[in-house]
Amino acid sequence: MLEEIKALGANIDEGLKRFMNNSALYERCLKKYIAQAEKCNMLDEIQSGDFESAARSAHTMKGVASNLSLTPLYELYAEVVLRIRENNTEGLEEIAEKCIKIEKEFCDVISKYQ
Amino acid sequence: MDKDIMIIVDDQEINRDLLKEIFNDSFKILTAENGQEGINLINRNKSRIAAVLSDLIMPDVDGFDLLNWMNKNNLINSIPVFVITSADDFDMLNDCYKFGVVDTIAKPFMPEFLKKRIQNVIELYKMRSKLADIVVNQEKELISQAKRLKEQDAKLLNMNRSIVDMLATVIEFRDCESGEHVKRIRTLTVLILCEYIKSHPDCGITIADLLNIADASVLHDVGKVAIPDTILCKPGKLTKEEFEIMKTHTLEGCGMLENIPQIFDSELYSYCYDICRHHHERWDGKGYPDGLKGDEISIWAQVVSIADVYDALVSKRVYKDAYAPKKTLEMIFGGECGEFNPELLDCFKAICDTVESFYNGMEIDLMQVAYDCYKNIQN
Repeated sequence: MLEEIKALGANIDEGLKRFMNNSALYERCLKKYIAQAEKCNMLDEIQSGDFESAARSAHTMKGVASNLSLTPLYELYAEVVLRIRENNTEGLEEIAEKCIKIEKEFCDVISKYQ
Repeated sequence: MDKDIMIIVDDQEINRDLLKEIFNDSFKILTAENGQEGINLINRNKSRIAAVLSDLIMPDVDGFDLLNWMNKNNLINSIPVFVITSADDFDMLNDCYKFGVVDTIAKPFMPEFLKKRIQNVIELYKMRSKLADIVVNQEKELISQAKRLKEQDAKLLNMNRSIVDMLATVIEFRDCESGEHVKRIRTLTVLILCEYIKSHPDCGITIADLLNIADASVLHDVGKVAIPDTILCKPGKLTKEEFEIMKTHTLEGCGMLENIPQIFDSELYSYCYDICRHHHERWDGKGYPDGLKGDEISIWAQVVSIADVYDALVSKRVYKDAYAPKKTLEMIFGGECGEFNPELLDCFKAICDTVESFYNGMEIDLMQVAYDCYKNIQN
């Protein structure tokens, strides 16, 4: 599994270090990411103009993704948080959509090992 | 109690699992999904918590609410709190420190560094609480030492009292008729002196002084043990020579006290000495042995003089019958027994009804009299 998500851009060397080279724990936590992602309504919130909630959701996912070293997701969620904070919502939806799309790729890989 | 619990508060299960994994081998880990659960866990385990690791942004009760609660319950100084957050807002992190957080740690973190940072602080808190324990124990030891000293002090004071009583008893046996005299003097002294203190609240006599003076008054005639029986118990008027010998009881008493100063604490001793020596001085300077005049005579020696004269007059003695109280007062106020301080005579006048009741058998609680007197002054 780790090799496959590495191919999607995850920094698994850093991630393993973070999980003290306990790859089983790392994978267990990665599996929990799916449920976490399902709970996140960031895109809906952006589309309905509720930016405050969207920032909160993105912030949470940013933290989780960073801990798991899912670097591309971390960067996109961070971008969403930053833009909302700076009141720069132009093109925000596109970024969010891109984020969700990549997230789905990660989740598809991970769910194969459930 | 050993601090073996670490509390992890984070709404993300992944974060909780990761932190749990890092500290699992060092602590018993309790996890909470939000601030309220965290508060409950802290509340239940207060004395066993080595550290709290908390996220900031959580649904409902968040990290700041938890910090607020810890501040309100005085726990923030005894339990180290680390905020672990991906929030990078400067003001928010600054607020954490204002709330008493030990350190803020940014997500994502490196476990090795996190472990070291947190363990260092926990060690520091351990040392601090050990030091606090040492101080508390030393304080306890000091308090118990002070208590022992106080007990010894009370024992000594009691011993002094019994010595005073013993000496007073000796005088009773020796002085043929004035048996209860010395004890009545104590009561009269307290009554008159309290009246004086009430009308002169600034006279500087404390309640401790008052009690010492009361004890000392008992010994005013201690020198009489040195007077020959033939004079002390002579029925009838003394000759001039005999009276001169009788007068020496004041100085004889001082001589005796000079030989035993170490048994009285210094203040009691000085009152004893002064009263013994000067209870026959008179306001106009016509008393003995030193011929002191007016304010040269201490107020307590003057009080004992009046008490002594009153008691001698109303009591039957070998050389005279008892005078009626009314007659006695007339004699004292009329100057037949020598001049007294007019202010003290006023005080005596104010309490003469109480004194008469006392001589008719009314019990008087001197501690209560003293207590009421000082309560009066304070009000």
